[in-house]
Amino acid sequence: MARTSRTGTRTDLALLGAALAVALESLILPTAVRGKVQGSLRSTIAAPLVSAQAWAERGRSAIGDHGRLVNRVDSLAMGVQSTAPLRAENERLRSLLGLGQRLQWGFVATEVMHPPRGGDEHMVLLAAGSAAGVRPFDPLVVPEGLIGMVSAVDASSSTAILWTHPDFRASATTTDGVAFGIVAAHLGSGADRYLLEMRGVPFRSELKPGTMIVSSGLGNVFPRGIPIGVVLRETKTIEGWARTYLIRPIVSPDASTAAMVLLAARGAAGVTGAWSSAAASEGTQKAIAAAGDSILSDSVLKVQQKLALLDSLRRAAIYRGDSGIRVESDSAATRPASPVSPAPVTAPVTSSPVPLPSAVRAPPIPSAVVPAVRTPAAGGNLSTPSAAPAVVRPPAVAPAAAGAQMPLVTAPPPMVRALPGTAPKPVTTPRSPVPAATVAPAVARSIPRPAGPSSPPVRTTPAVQRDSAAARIRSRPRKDSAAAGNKRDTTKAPENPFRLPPAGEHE
Amino acid sequence: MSGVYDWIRLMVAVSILVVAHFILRPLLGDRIEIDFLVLALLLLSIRVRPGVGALLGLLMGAASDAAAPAGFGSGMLALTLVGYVTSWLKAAFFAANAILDGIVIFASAWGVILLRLFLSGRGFEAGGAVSALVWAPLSAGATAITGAVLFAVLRPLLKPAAA
Repeated sequence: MARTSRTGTRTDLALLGAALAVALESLILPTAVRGKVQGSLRSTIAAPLVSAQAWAERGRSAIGDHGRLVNRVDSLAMGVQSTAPLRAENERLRSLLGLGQRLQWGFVATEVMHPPRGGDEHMVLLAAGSAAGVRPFDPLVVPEGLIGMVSAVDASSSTAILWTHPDFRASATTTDGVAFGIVAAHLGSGADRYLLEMRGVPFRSELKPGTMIVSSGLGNVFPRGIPIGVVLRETKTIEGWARTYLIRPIVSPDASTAAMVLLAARGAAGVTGAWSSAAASEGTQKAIAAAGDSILSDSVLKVQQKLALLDSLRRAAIYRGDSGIRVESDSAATRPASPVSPAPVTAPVTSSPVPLPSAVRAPPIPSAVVPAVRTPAAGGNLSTPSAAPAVVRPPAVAPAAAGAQMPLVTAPPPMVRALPGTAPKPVTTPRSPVPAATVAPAVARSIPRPAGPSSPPVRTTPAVQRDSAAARIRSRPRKDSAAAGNKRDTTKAPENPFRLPPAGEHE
Repeated sequence: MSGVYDWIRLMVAVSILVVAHFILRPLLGDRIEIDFLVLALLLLSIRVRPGVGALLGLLMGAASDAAAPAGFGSGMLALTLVGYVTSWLKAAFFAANAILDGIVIFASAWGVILLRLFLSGRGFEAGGAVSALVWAPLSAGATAITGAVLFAVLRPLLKPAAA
């Protein structure tokens, strides 16, 4: 029994020693080996335990995240609620920027400080004074129209009366200038207090509801064309010699926190066009907003251009590998042009005989996608019966003179490749500084027709065909008059069917 | 161990504790952790010889170290020693006394935590002393309380083998 116990003790000690040796060996293992052993354990024997622990960790983090997410959602909800006024103010400032862009000069942008409740609600304090050029009687305007007039000025601030003020007067007219009158605050009660009335309109001028009323420019206080309001209806007044109309003002008196003071010089010069159409105003606002967005998208566009460049280079490399076609793009511009050489056929895909803006003239097909359509092996050339190969260029490339060194395939510089949604500029080469799409029809007309049955017909675009037809029509009267010169008096000008007969010929 | 059913019940209890160590422990807290692996090892080691207890400790330590980000080997060493010592001391300490059980479990758990801390090097870092003297005893105490309750509930399984 004692031997068994001693043997067991030795065995236990041996097992303990082995286990301790393994544990210590694991402790002193190099980091790389230890990581491998640990990884193998994680992926084999301890894999279920490790995944269970990972699942539990995720669950605990999810429990912990729940409270944080609830708080975050609450904070975001509060943030959204607080951003609504900021967004409205942002829109308003953008529209003010649009007005400033249309006016361009002669105004002072200022902050409008409304008096606290209990004060004179028809007057506001402006943060600009005589130091900024503000003078009494200068108009106070906002993007929607007229809001008031400067009444008193000091060095750094000024006071303005709103159109609700009882002393406010403005000479007004309709946009077509048919009816004139004096606009003043409608001193009614309740909601009518915030209406305007246009007095002194002649009886012969009957205004329909919805008619826009603008400042007339008479009196040299308000320049002509500032919107004031729209006609609501006619009111009955004690005077029987003129009409009075109720005007719904176009600007709410308390909606403005920023406005512009039109300086005297700007008023004298006129503001025609600044408020000409609401569409223009809206378009300007959108343009300002888009300008901000374009700053962000500019970097994206540059990345796209670089990708397009790489794509073009890749395609050029593919073309270079096809049947020995030589690709020369930039090198063509460095060669001297042949003095007398027929121009290569330029077949613009979308060219117009009328010079169009660059955005309209943009070729819809990427230049690198349109390779040369023919090679000498494919069917001779179009320009000369000699060995000069035919070159059909992409539309964005100016025609180059074909010579002995004319490249078989002329790819445009990759940088000019049109990107979707962009307006590529007309590309010029040193030999042809004229925009390609502009000169392309003329060049196409100057190309001699190919001779020989092997030469395929020149394929021109409808624009070129229209231009040729127009040229034929233009040349036809001269031909007819020349042909009829033997029969008729050639000095007589061709009769214009739309010309009115001279006086006395009615009989 | 009187029969196969006792071993089956023991294996079920040990498996539950091992699974709880990897699933339940992360859900319970950051600072104070209940070491269910020590409890499972104690359940096993009081029924086997000290050498086998050391091997069981080595295996459990390997499983623990595999899931630990650092200190590979420290858990193996600590649980090997715990397995051997508790198996050697089973006749002396594992009587029907919950307090004594709790003290043994507390000492075992604290020792394991300390060994892990200092063998992995975290005990020498800033805050190591706080971990060793504050959070480790608290964790060991939580483990001891849990173990005492569990051993009281699982009394039929805790009949130690003859020395």
